[in-house]
Amino acid sequence: MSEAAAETLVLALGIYALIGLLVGLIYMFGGAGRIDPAARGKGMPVRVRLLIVPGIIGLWPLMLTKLFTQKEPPVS
Amino acid sequence: MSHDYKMVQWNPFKKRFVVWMVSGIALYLTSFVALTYATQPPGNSLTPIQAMIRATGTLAFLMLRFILCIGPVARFTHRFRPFLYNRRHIGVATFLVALVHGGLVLLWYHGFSETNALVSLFISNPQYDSISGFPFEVLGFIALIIMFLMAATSHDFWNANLGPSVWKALHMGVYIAYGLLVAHIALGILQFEKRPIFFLILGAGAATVVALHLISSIASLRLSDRIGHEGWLRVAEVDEIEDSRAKIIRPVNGDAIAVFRDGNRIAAVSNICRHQGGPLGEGKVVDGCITCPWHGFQYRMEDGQSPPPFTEKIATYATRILDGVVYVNPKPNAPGTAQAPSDIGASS
Repeated sequence: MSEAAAETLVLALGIYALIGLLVGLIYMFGGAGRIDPAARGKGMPVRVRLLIVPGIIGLWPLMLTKLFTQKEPPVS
Repeated sequence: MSHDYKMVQWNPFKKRFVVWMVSGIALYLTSFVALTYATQPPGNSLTPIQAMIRATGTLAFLMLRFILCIGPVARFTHRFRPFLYNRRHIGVATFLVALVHGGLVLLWYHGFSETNALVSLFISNPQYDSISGFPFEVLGFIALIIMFLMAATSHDFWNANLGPSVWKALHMGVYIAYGLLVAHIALGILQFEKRPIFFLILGAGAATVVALHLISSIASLRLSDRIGHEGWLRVAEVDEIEDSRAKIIRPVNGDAIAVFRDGNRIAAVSNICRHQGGPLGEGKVVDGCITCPWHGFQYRMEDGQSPPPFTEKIATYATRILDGVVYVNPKPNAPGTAQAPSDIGASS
Protein backbone atom coordinates (compact mmCIF):
# COMPACT_ATOMS: atom_id res chain seq x y z
CA MET A 1 0.00 0.00 0.00
CA SER A 2 1.38 3.39 -0.94
CA GLU A 3 1.75 6.14 1.62
CA ALA A 4 -0.81 8.30 -0.20
CA ALA A 5 -3.36 5.47 -0.18
CA ALA A 6 -2.73 4.79 3.51
CA GLU A 7 -3.10 8.49 4.36
CA THR A 8 -6.37 8.64 2.41
CA LEU A 9 -7.65 5.54 4.22
CA VAL A 10 -6.77 6.88 7.66
CA LEU A 11 -8.27 10.27 6.80
CA ALA A 12 -11.48 8.57 5.63
CA LEU A 13 -11.63 6.56 8.87
CA GLY A 14 -11.14 9.76 10.87
CA ILE A 15 -13.89 11.62 9.01
CA TYR A 16 -16.20 8.61 9.39
CA ALA A 17 -15.56 8.54 13.15
CA LEU A 18 -16.03 12.31 13.47
CA ILE A 19 -19.41 12.23 11.72
CA GLY A 20 -20.27 9.23 13.91
CA LEU A 21 -19.44 11.26 17.00
CA LEU A 22 -21.80 14.02 15.85
CA VAL A 23 -24.58 11.51 15.25
CA GLY A 24 -23.76 10.01 18.65
CA LEU A 25 -24.28 13.41 20.25
CA ILE A 26 -27.65 13.70 18.50
CA TYR A 27 -28.57 10.33 19.99
CA MET A 28 -27.35 11.39 23.41
CA PHE A 29 -29.51 14.48 23.40
CA GLY A 30 -32.87 13.13 22.33
CA GLY A 31 -32.25 10.91 19.30
CA ALA A 32 -32.35 7.69 21.30
CA GLY A 33 -35.75 8.57 22.73
CA ARG A 34 -37.02 9.48 19.28
CA ILE A 35 -36.56 5.94 17.94
CA ASP A 36 -37.12 4.09 21.22
CA PRO A 37 -39.73 5.25 23.76
CA ALA A 38 -37.99 3.22 26.47
CA ALA A 39 -34.93 5.47 26.06
CA ARG A 40 -36.82 8.70 26.79
CA GLY A 41 -36.00 10.76 29.87
CA LYS A 42 -35.10 8.70 32.92
CA GLY A 43 -35.57 5.49 30.93
CA MET A 44 -31.98 5.91 29.77
CA PRO A 45 -29.58 7.52 32.26
CA VAL A 46 -26.74 9.72 30.97
CA ARG A 47 -24.09 7.05 31.56
CA VAL A 48 -26.04 4.61 29.38
CA ARG A 49 -26.39 7.28 26.69
CA LEU A 50 -22.60 7.63 26.78
CA LEU A 51 -22.29 3.86 26.53
CA ILE A 52 -24.14 3.73 23.21
CA VAL A 53 -22.06 6.48 21.56
CA PRO A 54 -19.19 4.17 20.45
CA GLY A 55 -21.70 1.91 18.71
CA ILE A 56 -23.24 4.89 16.94
CA ILE A 57 -19.77 6.00 15.81
CA GLY A 58 -19.37 2.57 14.24
CA LEU A 59 -22.84 2.30 12.72
CA TRP A 60 -23.81 5.92 12.16
CA PRO A 61 -25.12 5.59 8.59
CA LEU A 62 -27.63 3.00 9.79
CA MET A 63 -28.53 4.92 12.94
CA LEU A 64 -28.87 8.23 11.09
CA THR A 65 -31.28 6.55 8.68
CA LYS A 66 -33.25 5.15 11.61
CA LEU A 67 -33.66 8.62 13.06
CA PHE A 68 -35.65 9.64 10.01
CA THR A 69 -37.32 6.40 8.99
CA GLN A 70 -38.11 4.37 12.12
CA LYS A 71 -41.72 5.01 13.02
CA GLU A 72 -42.56 1.91 15.04
CA PRO A 73 -40.99 1.38 18.48
CA PRO A 74 -38.61 -1.60 18.74
CA VAL A 75 -39.97 -5.05 19.52
CA SER A 76 -38.94 -5.31 23.16
CA MET B 1 -37.14 -7.61 33.10
CA SER B 2 -37.34 -3.89 32.95
CA HIS B 3 -38.43 -1.37 30.39
CA ASP B 4 -35.70 1.13 31.12
CA TYR B 5 -32.06 0.78 30.19
CA LYS B 6 -29.37 0.11 32.75
CA MET B 7 -25.59 0.09 32.30
CA VAL B 8 -25.39 -3.58 33.27
CA GLN B 9 -28.13 -5.76 34.70
CA TRP B 10 -26.06 -6.79 37.68
CA ASN B 11 -26.89 -9.59 40.03
CA PRO B 12 -24.66 -11.15 42.71
CA PHE B 13 -23.63 -13.99 40.40
CA LYS B 14 -22.59 -11.62 37.60
CA LYS B 15 -20.58 -9.53 40.04
CA ARG B 16 -18.73 -12.59 41.31
CA PHE B 17 -18.13 -13.74 37.76
CA VAL B 18 -16.64 -10.40 36.71
CA VAL B 19 -14.38 -10.33 39.78
CA TRP B 20 -13.08 -13.81 38.89
CA MET B 21 -12.67 -12.86 35.25
CA VAL B 22 -10.71 -9.67 35.97
CA SER B 23 -8.56 -11.53 38.51
CA GLY B 24 -7.86 -14.22 35.93
CA ILE B 25 -6.88 -11.61 33.33
CA ALA B 26 -4.52 -9.89 35.80
CA LEU B 27 -3.02 -13.24 36.83
CA TYR B 28 -2.43 -14.27 33.20
CA LEU B 29 -0.77 -10.99 32.26
CA THR B 30 1.55 -10.87 35.26
CA SER B 31 2.44 -14.57 34.95
CA PHE B 32 3.13 -14.21 31.24
CA VAL B 33 5.43 -11.24 31.70
CA ALA B 34 7.21 -12.86 34.67
CA LEU B 35 7.73 -16.13 32.78
CA THR B 36 8.91 -14.25 29.70
CA TYR B 37 11.66 -12.62 31.73
CA ALA B 38 12.48 -15.76 33.71
CA THR B 39 12.93 -17.86 30.56
CA GLN B 40 14.55 -15.21 28.38
CA PRO B 41 17.84 -16.47 26.89
CA PRO B 42 20.92 -14.47 27.84
CA GLY B 43 21.47 -11.50 25.54
CA ASN B 44 17.80 -11.24 24.68
CA SER B 45 16.30 -8.04 25.93
CA LEU B 46 12.56 -7.82 25.50
CA THR B 47 11.22 -4.59 26.94
CA PRO B 48 8.25 -4.66 29.34
CA ILE B 49 6.07 -3.18 26.60
CA GLN B 50 7.05 -5.91 24.17
CA ALA B 51 6.30 -8.53 26.81
CA MET B 52 2.91 -6.93 27.44
CA ILE B 53 2.21 -6.87 23.69
CA ARG B 54 2.70 -10.62 23.59
CA ALA B 55 0.79 -11.17 26.83
CA THR B 56 -2.26 -9.15 25.76
CA GLY B 57 -2.18 -10.56 22.25
CA THR B 58 -2.14 -14.18 23.35
CA LEU B 59 -4.74 -13.53 26.05
CA ALA B 60 -7.18 -11.79 23.70
CA PHE B 61 -6.84 -14.62 21.20
CA LEU B 62 -7.33 -17.32 23.85
CA MET B 63 -10.37 -15.49 25.24
CA LEU B 64 -11.90 -15.20 21.78
CA ARG B 65 -11.34 -18.88 21.16
CA PHE B 66 -12.91 -19.67 24.51
CA ILE B 67 -15.96 -17.54 23.64
CA LEU B 68 -16.41 -19.51 20.43
CA CYS B 69 -16.30 -22.78 22.35
CA ILE B 70 -18.84 -21.74 25.01
CA GLY B 71 -21.97 -22.22 22.90
CA PRO B 72 -21.25 -25.74 21.62
CA VAL B 73 -19.86 -27.03 24.92
CA ALA B 74 -22.76 -25.58 26.94
CA ARG B 75 -25.11 -27.78 24.92
CA PHE B 76 -23.46 -30.84 26.40
CA THR B 77 -22.68 -29.83 29.97
CA HIS B 78 -24.38 -27.65 32.56
CA ARG B 79 -20.99 -26.64 33.92
CA PHE B 80 -20.40 -24.29 31.00
CA ARG B 81 -23.66 -22.42 31.48
CA PRO B 82 -22.20 -19.78 33.81
CA PHE B 83 -19.91 -18.84 30.94
CA LEU B 84 -22.83 -18.85 28.52
CA TYR B 85 -24.81 -16.51 30.77
CA ASN B 86 -21.85 -14.13 30.98
CA ARG B 87 -20.59 -14.38 27.44
CA ARG B 88 -21.29 -10.69 26.84
CA HIS B 89 -18.96 -9.70 29.69
CA ILE B 90 -16.23 -11.99 28.39
CA GLY B 91 -16.65 -10.54 24.90
CA VAL B 92 -16.31 -6.94 26.04
CA ALA B 93 -13.30 -7.87 28.21
CA THR B 94 -11.72 -9.61 25.21
CA PHE B 95 -12.11 -6.48 23.11
CA LEU B 96 -10.55 -4.34 25.84
CA VAL B 97 -7.56 -6.68 26.13
CA ALA B 98 -7.20 -6.67 22.33
CA LEU B 99 -7.45 -2.87 22.33
CA VAL B 100 -4.58 -2.63 24.82
CA HIS B 101 -2.60 -5.00 22.58
CA GLY B 102 -3.28 -2.86 19.50
CA GLY B 103 -2.55 0.36 21.35
CA LEU B 104 0.79 -0.92 22.61
CA VAL B 105 1.74 -2.13 19.12
CA LEU B 106 0.95 1.29 17.64
CA LEU B 107 2.83 3.01 20.42
CA TRP B 108 5.91 0.81 20.38
CA TYR B 109 6.38 0.00 16.70
CA HIS B 110 4.77 3.00 14.99
CA GLY B 111 4.57 5.79 17.55
CA PHE B 112 8.08 7.18 17.40
CA SER B 113 8.25 8.39 13.79
CA GLU B 114 6.91 11.55 12.21
CA THR B 115 4.47 9.48 10.15
CA ASN B 116 1.00 9.04 11.61
CA ALA B 117 1.03 5.78 13.61
CA LEU B 118 -1.93 4.29 11.73
CA VAL B 119 -0.47 5.26 8.35
CA SER B 120 2.78 3.69 9.47
CA LEU B 121 0.91 0.48 10.35
CA PHE B 122 -0.27 0.18 6.75
CA ILE B 123 2.97 1.13 4.98
CA SER B 124 5.82 -0.03 7.22
CA ASN B 125 5.72 -3.47 5.65
CA PRO B 126 4.72 -3.17 1.98
CA GLN B 127 4.89 -6.91 1.15
CA TYR B 128 1.17 -7.33 0.50
CA ASP B 129 1.95 -9.71 -2.37
CA SER B 130 3.99 -12.09 -0.21
CA ILE B 131 2.75 -14.84 2.12
CA SER B 132 5.83 -15.22 4.27
CA GLY B 133 6.33 -11.47 4.57
CA PHE B 134 2.69 -10.33 4.60
CA PRO B 135 1.97 -7.35 6.92
CA PHE B 136 0.04 -9.44 9.42
CA GLU B 137 -0.60 -6.41 11.67
CA VAL B 138 -3.21 -5.18 9.18
CA LEU B 139 -5.26 -8.37 9.69
CA GLY B 140 -5.19 -7.79 13.43
CA PHE B 141 -6.35 -4.21 12.88
CA ILE B 142 -9.36 -5.34 10.84
CA ALA B 143 -10.20 -7.97 13.48
CA LEU B 144 -10.00 -5.27 16.15
CA ILE B 145 -12.48 -3.11 14.20
CA ILE B 146 -14.92 -6.04 14.05
CA MET B 147 -14.48 -6.73 17.75
CA PHE B 148 -15.07 -3.04 18.45
CA LEU B 149 -18.37 -3.12 16.57
CA MET B 150 -19.48 -6.17 18.53
CA ALA B 151 -18.43 -4.82 21.91
CA ALA B 152 -19.91 -1.39 21.20
CA THR B 153 -23.27 -2.90 20.27
CA SER B 154 -23.49 -5.39 23.13
CA HIS B 155 -25.88 -3.28 25.21
CA ASP B 156 -29.60 -4.10 25.27
CA PHE B 157 -30.35 -0.84 23.43
CA TRP B 158 -28.69 -2.26 20.34
CA ASN B 159 -30.50 -5.56 20.38
CA ALA B 160 -33.81 -3.76 20.70
CA ASN B 161 -33.14 -1.12 18.05
CA LEU B 162 -31.18 -3.06 15.47
CA GLY B 163 -33.62 -5.97 15.76
CA PRO B 164 -32.60 -9.52 16.68
CA SER B 165 -31.73 -10.59 13.12
CA VAL B 166 -29.48 -7.62 12.27
CA TRP B 167 -27.91 -7.76 15.74
CA LYS B 168 -27.19 -11.46 15.41
CA ALA B 169 -25.79 -11.06 11.88
CA LEU B 170 -23.48 -8.32 13.16
CA HIS B 171 -22.31 -10.49 16.03
CA MET B 172 -21.66 -13.45 13.75
CA GLY B 173 -18.69 -11.29 12.74
CA VAL B 174 -16.91 -13.01 15.61
CA TYR B 175 -16.13 -15.88 13.23
CA ILE B 176 -14.58 -13.49 10.69
CA ALA B 177 -12.57 -11.86 13.49
CA TYR B 178 -11.36 -15.26 14.68
CA GLY B 179 -10.33 -16.27 11.14
CA LEU B 180 -8.46 -13.00 10.68
CA LEU B 181 -6.70 -13.49 14.01
CA VAL B 182 -5.68 -17.05 13.13
CA ALA B 183 -4.14 -15.64 9.93
CA HIS B 184 -2.66 -12.70 11.89
CA ILE B 185 -0.89 -15.05 14.29
CA ALA B 186 0.10 -17.66 11.69
CA LEU B 187 1.71 -15.04 9.48
CA GLY B 188 3.37 -13.44 12.49
CA ILE B 189 4.79 -16.80 13.56
CA LEU B 190 6.02 -17.32 10.01
CA GLN B 191 8.08 -14.16 10.26
CA PHE B 192 9.43 -14.42 13.79
CA GLU B 193 9.32 -18.08 14.88
CA LYS B 194 10.46 -21.07 12.92
CA ARG B 195 9.58 -23.73 15.52
CA PRO B 196 6.68 -25.91 14.31
CA ILE B 197 5.23 -26.23 17.83
CA PHE B 198 3.61 -22.78 17.49
CA PHE B 199 1.87 -23.78 14.26
CA LEU B 200 0.73 -27.02 15.90
CA ILE B 201 -0.78 -25.19 18.89
CA LEU B 202 -2.51 -22.65 16.63
CA GLY B 203 -3.82 -25.35 14.28
CA ALA B 204 -5.02 -27.57 17.13
CA GLY B 205 -6.91 -24.64 18.66
CA ALA B 206 -8.62 -23.73 15.39
CA ALA B 207 -9.43 -27.40 14.74
CA THR B 208 -10.98 -27.65 18.23
CA VAL B 209 -13.28 -24.71 17.52
CA VAL B 210 -14.37 -26.18 14.17
CA ALA B 211 -14.82 -29.69 15.63
CA LEU B 212 -16.93 -28.46 18.55
CA HIS B 213 -19.24 -26.58 16.21
CA LEU B 214 -19.55 -29.59 13.92
CA ILE B 215 -20.28 -31.98 16.78
CA SER B 216 -22.82 -29.59 18.22
CA SER B 217 -24.54 -29.23 14.83
CA ILE B 218 -24.65 -32.97 14.31
CA ALA B 219 -26.19 -33.44 17.76
CA SER B 220 -28.82 -30.86 16.83
CA LEU B 221 -29.60 -32.72 13.61
CA ARG B 222 -30.10 -35.92 15.55
CA LEU B 223 -32.54 -34.15 17.84
CA SER B 224 -34.47 -32.90 14.83
CA ASP B 225 -34.98 -36.39 13.52
CA ARG B 226 -37.51 -37.47 16.13
CA ILE B 227 -40.65 -38.04 14.16
CA GLY B 228 -42.93 -39.74 16.63
CA HIS B 229 -46.66 -40.34 16.90
CA GLU B 230 -48.87 -38.79 14.15
CA GLY B 231 -46.27 -36.19 13.18
CA TRP B 232 -45.67 -35.18 16.78
CA LEU B 233 -42.04 -35.14 17.82
CA ARG B 234 -40.75 -37.47 20.48
CA VAL B 235 -39.07 -35.43 23.19
CA ALA B 236 -37.95 -37.87 25.87
CA GLU B 237 -39.27 -40.19 28.53
CA VAL B 238 -40.84 -38.25 31.35
CA ASP B 239 -38.10 -39.26 33.79
CA GLU B 240 -35.42 -38.01 31.44
CA ILE B 241 -36.62 -34.41 31.85
CA GLU B 242 -35.16 -32.99 35.03
CA ASP B 243 -37.61 -31.13 37.24
CA SER B 244 -37.69 -27.36 36.51
CA ARG B 245 -35.54 -27.93 33.44
CA ALA B 246 -36.15 -28.50 29.74
CA LYS B 247 -35.23 -30.61 26.77
CA ILE B 248 -34.63 -28.69 23.56
CA ILE B 249 -36.03 -30.10 20.34
CA ARG B 250 -35.06 -28.78 16.94
CA PRO B 251 -37.65 -29.61 14.28
CA VAL B 252 -36.45 -29.99 10.72
CA ASN B 253 -38.58 -26.95 9.87
CA GLY B 254 -39.21 -24.19 12.33
CA ASP B 255 -37.63 -22.81 15.46
CA ALA B 256 -36.22 -24.85 18.31
CA ILE B 257 -38.74 -25.85 21.00
CA ALA B 258 -38.06 -25.95 24.74
CA VAL B 259 -40.09 -28.61 26.56
CA PHE B 260 -40.17 -27.86 30.28
CA ARG B 261 -41.09 -29.92 33.28
CA ASP B 262 -42.34 -28.26 36.46
CA GLY B 263 -43.29 -30.93 38.96
CA ASN B 264 -46.05 -32.89 37.25
CA ARG B 265 -46.60 -30.36 34.48
CA ILE B 266 -45.04 -30.54 31.02
CA ALA B 267 -45.27 -27.52 28.70
CA ALA B 268 -43.52 -26.45 25.51
CA VAL B 269 -42.62 -22.99 24.30
CA SER B 270 -40.34 -21.40 21.71
CA ASN B 271 -36.71 -21.77 22.69
CA ILE B 272 -36.01 -18.15 21.76
CA CYS B 273 -36.35 -15.41 24.38
CA ARG B 274 -37.98 -12.19 23.12
CA HIS B 275 -35.35 -10.12 24.87
CA GLN B 276 -32.05 -11.03 23.22
CA GLY B 277 -32.82 -14.37 21.64
CA GLY B 278 -31.45 -16.24 24.65
CA PRO B 279 -31.89 -20.03 24.78
CA LEU B 280 -34.90 -20.43 27.08
CA GLY B 281 -34.47 -24.21 27.15
CA GLU B 282 -31.18 -23.74 28.96
CA GLY B 283 -32.95 -21.81 31.71
CA LYS B 284 -35.22 -23.16 34.41
CA VAL B 285 -38.68 -22.80 35.91
CA VAL B 286 -38.78 -20.33 38.78
CA ASP B 287 -42.08 -19.78 40.64
CA GLY B 288 -43.97 -21.40 37.80
CA CYS B 289 -42.38 -19.18 35.17
CA ILE B 290 -39.86 -20.17 32.52
CA THR B 291 -36.82 -17.99 33.20
CA CYS B 292 -34.30 -17.08 30.52
CA PRO B 293 -30.76 -17.95 31.56
CA TRP B 294 -29.31 -14.81 30.04
CA HIS B 295 -31.14 -11.94 31.71
CA GLY B 296 -33.95 -13.46 33.71
CA PHE B 297 -36.87 -12.61 31.40
CA GLN B 298 -39.83 -14.75 32.45
CA TYR B 299 -42.78 -16.38 30.72
CA ARG B 300 -45.70 -18.31 32.16
CA MET B 301 -45.67 -21.99 31.28
CA GLU B 302 -49.36 -22.13 30.43
CA ASP B 303 -49.51 -19.30 27.85
CA GLY B 304 -45.98 -18.06 27.08
CA GLN B 305 -46.79 -14.56 28.36
CA SER B 306 -44.58 -12.54 30.67
CA PRO B 307 -46.32 -11.93 33.99
CA PRO B 308 -47.84 -8.42 34.33
CA PRO B 309 -46.87 -5.62 33.97
CA PHE B 310 -44.61 -7.03 31.25
CA THR B 311 -46.01 -7.75 27.82
CA GLU B 312 -43.57 -10.07 26.03
CA LYS B 313 -45.08 -13.19 24.45
CA ILE B 314 -43.57 -16.31 22.94
CA ALA B 315 -45.08 -19.16 20.95
CA THR B 316 -46.52 -22.15 22.82
CA TYR B 317 -46.79 -25.73 21.61
CA ALA B 318 -49.15 -28.58 22.42
CA THR B 319 -47.65 -31.49 24.35
CA ARG B 320 -48.92 -34.93 25.26
CA ILE B 321 -47.67 -37.95 27.15
CA LEU B 322 -48.13 -41.47 25.83
CA ASP B 323 -46.76 -44.52 27.68
CA GLY B 324 -44.45 -42.33 29.72
CA VAL B 325 -43.03 -40.59 26.65
CA VAL B 326 -43.43 -36.86 26.06
CA TYR B 327 -44.38 -35.68 22.57
CA VAL B 328 -44.67 -32.15 21.22
CA ASN B 329 -46.66 -30.87 18.27
CA PRO B 330 -44.12 -28.98 16.12
CA LYS B 331 -46.81 -26.56 14.88
CA PRO B 332 -46.49 -23.39 17.02
CA ASN B 333 -49.45 -21.54 18.49
CA ALA B 334 -49.48 -17.78 18.10
CA PRO B 335 -47.31 -16.07 20.74
CA GLY B 336 -49.13 -15.84 24.05
CA THR B 337 -51.75 -18.49 23.20
CA ALA B 338 -52.98 -20.45 26.22
CA GLN B 339 -51.98 -24.10 26.01
CA ALA B 340 -52.74 -26.29 28.99
CA PRO B 341 -49.63 -28.17 30.19
CA SER B 342 -49.75 -31.96 30.10
CA ASP B 343 -50.19 -33.61 33.47
CA ILE B 344 -47.77 -36.45 34.17
CA GLY B 345 -50.05 -37.93 36.83
CA ALA B 346 -53.07 -37.96 34.54
CA SER B 347 -51.28 -39.86 31.79
CA SER B 348 -49.72 -42.66 33.81
